[in-house]
Amino acid sequence: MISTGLKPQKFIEQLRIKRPHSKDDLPPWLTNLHEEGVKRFSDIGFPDPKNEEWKFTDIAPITEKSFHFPDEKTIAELRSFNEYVDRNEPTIVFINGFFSARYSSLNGLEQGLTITNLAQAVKDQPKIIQSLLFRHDLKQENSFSALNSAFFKDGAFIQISDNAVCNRLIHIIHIVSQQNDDTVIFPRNLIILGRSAQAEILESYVSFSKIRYFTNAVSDVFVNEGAKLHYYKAQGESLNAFHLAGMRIAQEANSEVNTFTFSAGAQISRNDLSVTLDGEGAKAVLNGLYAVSGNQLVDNHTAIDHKPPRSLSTQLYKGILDGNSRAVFNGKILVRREAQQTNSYQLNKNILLSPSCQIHTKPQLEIFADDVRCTHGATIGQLNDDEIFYLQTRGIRKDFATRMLLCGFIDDVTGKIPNVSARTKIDELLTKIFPALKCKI
Amino acid sequence: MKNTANHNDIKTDYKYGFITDIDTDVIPKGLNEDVVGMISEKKHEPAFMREWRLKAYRHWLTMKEPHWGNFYYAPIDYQAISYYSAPKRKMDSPKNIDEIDKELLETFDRLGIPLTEQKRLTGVAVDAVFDSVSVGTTHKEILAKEGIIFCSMSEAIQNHPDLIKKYLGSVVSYTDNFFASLNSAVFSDGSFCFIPKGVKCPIELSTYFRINASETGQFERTLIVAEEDSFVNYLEGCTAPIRDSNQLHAAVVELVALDNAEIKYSTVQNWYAGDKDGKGGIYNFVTKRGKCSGNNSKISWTQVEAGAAITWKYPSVILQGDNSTGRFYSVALTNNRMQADTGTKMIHIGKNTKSTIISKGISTDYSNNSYRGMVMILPSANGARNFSQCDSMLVGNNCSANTFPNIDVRNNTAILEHEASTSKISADQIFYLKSRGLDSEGSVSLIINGFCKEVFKELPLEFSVEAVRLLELKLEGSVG
Amino acid sequence: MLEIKNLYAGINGVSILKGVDLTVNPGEVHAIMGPNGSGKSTLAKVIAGHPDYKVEQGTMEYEVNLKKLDLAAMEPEIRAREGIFLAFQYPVEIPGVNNSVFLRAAFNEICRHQGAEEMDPIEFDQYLRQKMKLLEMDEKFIDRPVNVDFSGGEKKRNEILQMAILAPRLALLDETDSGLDVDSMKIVANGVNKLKSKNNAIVLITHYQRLLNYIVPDFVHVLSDGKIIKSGGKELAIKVETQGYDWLI
Repeated sequence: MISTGLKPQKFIEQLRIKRPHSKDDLPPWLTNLHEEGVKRFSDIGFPDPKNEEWKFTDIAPITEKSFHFPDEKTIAELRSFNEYVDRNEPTIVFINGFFSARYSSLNGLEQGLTITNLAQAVKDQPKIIQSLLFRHDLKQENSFSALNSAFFKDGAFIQISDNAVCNRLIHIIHIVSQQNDDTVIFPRNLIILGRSAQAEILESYVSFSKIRYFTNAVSDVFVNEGAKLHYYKAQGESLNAFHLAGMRIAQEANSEVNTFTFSAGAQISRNDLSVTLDGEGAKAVLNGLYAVSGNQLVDNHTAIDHKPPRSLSTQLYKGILDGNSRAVFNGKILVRREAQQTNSYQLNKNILLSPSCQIHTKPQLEIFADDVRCTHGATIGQLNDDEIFYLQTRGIRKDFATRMLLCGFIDDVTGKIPNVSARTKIDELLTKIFPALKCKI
Repeated sequence: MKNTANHNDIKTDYKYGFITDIDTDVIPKGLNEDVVGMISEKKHEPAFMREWRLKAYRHWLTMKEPHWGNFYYAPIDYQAISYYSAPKRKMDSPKNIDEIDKELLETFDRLGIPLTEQKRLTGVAVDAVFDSVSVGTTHKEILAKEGIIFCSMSEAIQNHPDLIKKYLGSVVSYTDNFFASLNSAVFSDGSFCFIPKGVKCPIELSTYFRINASETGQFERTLIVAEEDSFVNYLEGCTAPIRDSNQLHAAVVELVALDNAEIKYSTVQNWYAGDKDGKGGIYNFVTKRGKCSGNNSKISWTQVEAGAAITWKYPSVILQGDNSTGRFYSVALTNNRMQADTGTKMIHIGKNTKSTIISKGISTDYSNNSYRGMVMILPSANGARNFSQCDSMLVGNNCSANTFPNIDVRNNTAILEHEASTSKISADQIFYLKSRGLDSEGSVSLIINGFCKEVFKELPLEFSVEAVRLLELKLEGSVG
Repeated sequence: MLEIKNLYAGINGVSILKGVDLTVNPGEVHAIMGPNGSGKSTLAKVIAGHPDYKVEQGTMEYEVNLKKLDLAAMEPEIRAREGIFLAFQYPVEIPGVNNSVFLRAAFNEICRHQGAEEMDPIEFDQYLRQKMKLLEMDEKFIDRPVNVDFSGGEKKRNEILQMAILAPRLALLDETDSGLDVDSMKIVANGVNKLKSKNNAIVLITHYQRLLNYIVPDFVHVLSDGKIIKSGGKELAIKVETQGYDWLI
C-alpha cells in the first residue's frame, strides 16, 4: 500500500497534540504499542480509492476533517438510553469513550466471568493484557486498525474462564452523547473465552443525537478450544457519524462462534470482520443485516481464513437499500492447502427499494485444497410484484404487504438471533432508524 | 532465416508442437515508431491506418503493464521481441489456395485444417493465419454470393477502408488497455468479417491461428460486424510449436452487432502451454469484446481454454441496445504450471438487457485457475437481468482455484443471481463408476464432461468433439 | 352479485378476453371450462385485479349489501375486503413470512373493513386450528413461511384454508384440482362444499370435469378465445369431457 495525498501525518499530529492524558500513566509496553500504531499508520496512510479493498468506499469525508477528543462523560439523552439498556444484564458502558461505572451493571457476575474496562485490566493483569494486545502483528495491520492501535485508551475487557458459562446477555455499550461535532473515539475491546466456556455478547454503538463524530473501533476476540460464543454487533450510530470498525476473531479447535453484524446508522460505516479458524473442527457462522437509506453508505468486508482441516464457515448477509444509499459487500474465503475437508458457504442477498441506490457485491474464493466444498452466491433484486399481489388479494394493503415482505426477507437472519434480549434491542434500533421494517402487527 | 525442427527430443502429449521448416521474413527485434511504420508499409496500408497505429504506439508508451491478474511471470522485454514474421512467398499475394506454398499447406493439413479445394472442410470457411499473416481463406465464392466479406484484415484495410474506419477500434479503442494499445500499434493480420443486412451466413466462419517463428510476438486483430437482422457463427482455433522460451500473443477481437443481429463466437484455445516444469509456452493476453449496439441484438462467447502458459482474457459484452443479450460460456482447464485468469464483463446499458455467465474451471497439477468477472448494471438499464454460475473443480492437492466475481448494480429494477461452487471429484464418485466397469481415467473424463456439459453444448458439434478430446488428453495421468 | 358485461382485457397490449358476459348470483356454483389459452386464468386474475392485466372495455359490477361497486376501479386488497377471493393456480411462495401471521393480518384487515370484530392472536390460533382440521392439514404448517417448501397438493390445500379463514362472498378457484391426487381432491372438495352457503357464490375454473363430480355446479360455461361460447347445466361438463371442445368451436 502506498500512502496517499491524504496526509496521515497531519491527521495524527492533530490528534497527538490533543491527546487527553499524559503517557506517564501507561506501562512502557503500552506506550510502545501506541508508537507502533503511529508508525504503521504513518507508513501506510489512509487507503486511497485505487486500493481494491476500498474501491467503493470513499473516506474523504472523514480524512478531510480535523477531529478532537471529547471531554464530557455524561448522557444527555438519558431516557432513550434507559430504554435501551437492561440493568438486570451485565452491562459495561462507555460514554464518549470514557468508562462509566455509574451506568454500568457489573455486580453479581457469574462465576468465572470478569468484565472490566481495559484501562483497569492493564493495571490488574498487565501480563495477560500485554500478550493479548500483541497477539496480532502490528506490522500487518490495516490503516484503521493501526490508527486504533495508535490512539485507543479504553474499551471493554471480558474474560470467561475455562468451563464457565454465562447465561445472561453481556452488553458492551459505546454511546456518544451530545457534544460538539467532530469528536473521535477509539474503543478497543478485548474478549477471551477459556476452554469450553460459553457466552453471549452484544456490542452496541449508539447515539441518540444527530451529531457528527467518528468511531474507530477494534474488537479482538479469542476463543479457546471447545468454547461457544454468540457475538452480536449492533451499529445504531447517529446518521451523521462515521463508523469504521475492525473485528478479529481467532478460533481454536472445535470452538463455535456465531456473529451477527447489524448496521443501520452512520453516514459511512464499515465493518472489517476477519475470522481465523486456527484449530480443527472450528465452526464460524457469520450473519449480517444492513438497512440504509438517504445518503448512507454501508460496507461489510468479511475474511475467513480456513487453516486446519475440517473447519466450517457459513455466511448470510442481507441488505435493504433505499434512497440514494450505497452498500458494499466483500466476502473473502481463503482455504489453505492443509485445510482439507473444509466446508464454506456464503450468500449475500439484497433488495433495492429505490431507483437511485447502488450495491457492489464481490464474493471472493481462494482455494488451495482439493477436498473442499465451497459455495457462494449473491442476489440483487426488488420486491416481487406477484408476492405483493398475492397478499393484496388476501385483503392486505399494498404498503403493509411491502413491509411484510421486507420483514420476511430479513427474517432468516434476524430469526437466527437466539437471544431474545439481543434480538429486541437490535429490532429497536432497526425500527427507529428504518421505520419501513417495523414488523410488529 | 530458417527454423530448425527440434521437437523430437521433447516428450510431450502436445501433438501440435511441430515446427514448420520455412523461409520467413522477420523484421529485427525491437519496437519504435520506425518499426510501427515498417509494419504498416509492409502491409501497403493507407495513411489513416499508419496514423492510427502511431497514435496507439504513442499512447502505449504512457501506459504500464497491468499486474492485477492472479498470476506471475518474469518481466517481458518488449525490445527483445520481433513484431513481424511472415512466411516468404513465391508471389506477393496468392490469388487462390493452390498458389500457397506447399509447406504451409502441409502444416495446416497436419493441424487438421486442410485448405485446398479437394480437401477443405465443407460447411466451414477457414481463414488460416500463420505467424503474422493470413495465408488463405477458403469458400470465398459461396460467401461472395451472399455479399459476405470474409478476408484477412490486411485485405480488408486495402479493399474496404470505409468499413475499417467506421468499425476498427469502435469497441476496443487503441487506448483501452496496455496489451490492446500494443496490438493496435503493431497488429500484423487477422480476420475481417462483414455480414450485410438480413443475411444469415450459410456456413460457419473460422480462423485458425498458428504461431511458428520463435521470439516473435503474434498480434492479430479480428473484427466482425453483423448488420441488422444478420447471423454468423464464428470459430477460432489456435496452436503453436513447442519452444522453451515464452512467446507473447496479444490479440484483439471486436464484435459489433446491429439491430436484431446475432454473433456466436467460439474458441478452442490450445496454444503450447509450456512443459511440466512451466518452461516455455505462450502468454495469451487477449482483449475480446463485443458490442450489442442494436436493439434485440445477441452476442455469445463460448471458449474452451486449454492451452497457453498464462491466459489473461475476459471476453465481454457491452449491452447497449434495448433487449440485447450477452452470453459467456467458458471452460478453462489448467494443468502442469499453467496460470489462467479469465472471465467476462457484462456491461448493461440498454433496457431489458440480459446476460448469462456459465464458467467452469478445472485445475490440476501445480496450476492456478481464476475466474474474474464483472457484471455492471448502469442506471439506464431498467429491467436488466443477469444469471452467473461459476464452478471450479480441483484435481489433486497442489493446484488452486479462485473466484472474483464483481457485481455492481445501480438500478433497482435489475435482478441478478450469482452462484458459485468449488468441489473435487470425490473418491465415492470414482468408486461408483469403477464398480460399473469404468477405469479411473474413463471415470474422471465422464465426470469432467458432465461438469462442462452446459458449455460444450454451446459449441458447434465438431468443436465440441475436439474440446472433449482435448480435455481428456490434458487430464490423462492427473488423476490416480 | 357479480355482473360482467362485454369484458375485454389483456396483458402487454395483447387482448385475451374478448367480450365476456357472466352473471353470478348468491348461492350459485359456476364452472368455467375451456381449452388451454382460452383465457380462463386471465378472467380470474382480472376479477381479482392483477396489475399486469388491463381492462380495455366492458364492466364488472359487484353487488354487496345492496351497494353496487365497480370492480375495475378498486385496488386488489379492497376487492378482497369486499369478499372476493382468488385461489391461485400457482400459489406464490413467500419466504420469511409466517403462515399464521399472514393469515391473521389478512383476516383482521377484512374484519376491520367489514366492521366485524378483530381477533387477538390466541383467539385466532384456535380459529385457525379448527379450520385446519376441516382440511386435514398438519399443524406444522401454522409456523411455516407461506407456501415455502409446500408440495403442490399442500399449496392447494393452503389456498382453501385461506378461503375457509377469510369466508369470502365470491370465491374464484383457479385450477384448484390440478396437481391433486384423488384423496386430496376429495378433501379439498369437501372443504369447499362445507363453505358453500346461500349467501356466497363459487366460480370454479377447471380443465377437467373430474372436480365437478365432487363440487356440483349449477352452471357450466365454456370459454374459448376469450369469449363464453356455450353455457348450460352440469350435463355440458360431461359432454365436454367425452367429446372435447372441438364440436363447440
